[in-house]
Amino acid sequence: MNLRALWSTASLRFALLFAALFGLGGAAMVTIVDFGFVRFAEAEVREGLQHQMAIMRTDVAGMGGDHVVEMLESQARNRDGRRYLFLVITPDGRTFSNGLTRAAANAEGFRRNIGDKPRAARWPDQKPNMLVLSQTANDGTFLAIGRDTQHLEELRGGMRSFALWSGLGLITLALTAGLAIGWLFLRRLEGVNNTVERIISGHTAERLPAIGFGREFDDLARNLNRMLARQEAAMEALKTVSEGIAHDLRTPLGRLRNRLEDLEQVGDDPARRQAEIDAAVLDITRITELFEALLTLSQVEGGRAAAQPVPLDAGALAASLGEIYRPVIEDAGGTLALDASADAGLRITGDAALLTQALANLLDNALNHAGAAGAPAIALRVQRRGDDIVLTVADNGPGIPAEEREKVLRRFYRMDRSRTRPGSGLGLPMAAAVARWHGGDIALGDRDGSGLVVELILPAAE
Amino acid sequence: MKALVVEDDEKTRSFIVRGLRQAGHVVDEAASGDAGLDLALDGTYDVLILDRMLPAMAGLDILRAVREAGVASPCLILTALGAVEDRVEGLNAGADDYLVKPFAFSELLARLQALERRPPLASRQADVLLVGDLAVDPGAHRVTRAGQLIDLTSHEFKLLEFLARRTGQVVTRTMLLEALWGFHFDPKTNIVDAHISRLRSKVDKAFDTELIRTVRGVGYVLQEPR
Repeated sequence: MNLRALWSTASLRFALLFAALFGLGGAAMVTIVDFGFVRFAEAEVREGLQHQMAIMRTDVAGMGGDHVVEMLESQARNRDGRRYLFLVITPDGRTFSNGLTRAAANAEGFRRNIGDKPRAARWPDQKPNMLVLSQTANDGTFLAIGRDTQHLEELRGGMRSFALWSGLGLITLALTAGLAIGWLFLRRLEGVNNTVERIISGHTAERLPAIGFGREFDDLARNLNRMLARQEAAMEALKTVSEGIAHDLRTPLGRLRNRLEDLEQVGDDPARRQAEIDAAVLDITRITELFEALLTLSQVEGGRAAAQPVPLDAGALAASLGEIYRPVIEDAGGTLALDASADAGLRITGDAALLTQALANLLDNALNHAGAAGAPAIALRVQRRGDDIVLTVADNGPGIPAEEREKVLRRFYRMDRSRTRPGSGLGLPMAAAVARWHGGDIALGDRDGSGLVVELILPAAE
Repeated sequence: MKALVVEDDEKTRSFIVRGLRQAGHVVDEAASGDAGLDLALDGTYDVLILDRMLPAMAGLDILRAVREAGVASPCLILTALGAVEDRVEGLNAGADDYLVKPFAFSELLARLQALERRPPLASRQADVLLVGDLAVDPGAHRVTRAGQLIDLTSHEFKLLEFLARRTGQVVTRTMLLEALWGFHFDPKTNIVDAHISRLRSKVDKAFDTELIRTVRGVGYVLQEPR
């Protein structure tokens, strides 16, 4: 992790954004303090000056300018005139001043002792923040009252520096937090990214570590892991198929090739020639069927099978399949015990073509394997079990050992003893895929220790 | 029968065309979708054979255009797509049958004959179907041969009716599997032959002439022997 990586993290960018926002906020605060709070305080000062002026004018009107000057002189001796500065000039030239100069007070109305240049006093002999109100009374007495507003300036300055420092503090805090969180994120995500790199380079069994920081991030990691698991399963399935194709198709393709080469050697015997050609065509038919089975299986497993599920009577479906298979079972010297009928209320929601194929595969298997051990005794039964409808196909063949049962559901898996028997190795996986497509499952068992019992467990319709 | 074959693969096309001509049919051919469409719109063909995947214009698009133009010639779609939904899509587009590559020529021929001779639906119902001294009455669900009542299970009856409606035509195992039982796959056991042999034992065994004949490597035909 380097600085550039950190710079490009989202959290640092957020931090910078927040820092900028805090900075703007500080500036806005200064403005508000300036235009609002300080102005308000200044208005108070002006009001105070106006109030003093009103008193003075009343005094001048009632007692005359000379009297007011005398009164101010006596007051100036008694108490210090720190709050207000006065300048009174009577029409006959009598003057009182306790610090306010003529220069500061030679006009009417409010004036402020600030020059054109910032901080430069207009009247150098006065305090720099003097606010002066000047008026001429009715008898011609000139009255001026001044007040030092230094405290307002100090307040304003204090507010400004407070805003500045707190703004800087917030900016620093936001940047620090952003950097810290960015760094933490990078460190956590680095683990995730490294894992992804390893998965890309072929370690498909690896899974992402928890990201931390809260539920949403862990949910993300968990969902990504689920996706990875699914992808891995799909890849695994693809691999099995490729290997299955390589194995199960190469054999018949090789045989076909040999046959065609042999055909050259057969000579002119038309019967032998025809026999070889027929056998070659049969080989191709088998290969095509295998392809077909693979295609259907991968579509069912991928959940993309054709039809929308419709309401079906499982009893009727199984009864029909039983009757379709009964002749071939009986021709093989076997028996079919059929315990299924329509209108038994065994309703499911599903696809008839897929279920037909699944049941046909199971019956094919049953006949194929049961027949090896003598007279086949096959049972086909449909019953309700709790919320499920269970379609059972049982035979009296050699069965499948418990430890093999998991494997026979895989594509192309064929037990060693089945290698010499016909079959694609896709029958049981297809039945399993159909059961799962219907939201159900497949279960393999035995009948009192012998034979094979296959159950398609399908959810009953509501 | 006058047939149109639209197929871009040269080998496949000439295989079909040659086979049909040898079987005594008149065949026009087109290698591309637009050329095929021009010919098909002519409307004088007894049957159309369209490849589903053609350059420029797909078989199903031709079919839709042809059907929109009011041409009702039966149509068989050839395809390398074998999934159930592909077949459903083909039939929805107005196809009458659907054959997945690779196929045996005998299968194609049997299906084309079934299409060509398919009478309009209305007249197919009520009548009693007669093949020699065999009478199949779909309405009454009754079969007699030489006046004797023959007792058939419902599956056997459906099979016999299917054959009787196509008297003289070869019916393949695949056609029976699809039409009678909805099997769109080849079962590992030969259930069709077992059913046929049941049917034979009831329909043919006690009589002098054999009406159900096996066509080796192809299927069966119900026919009065000549």
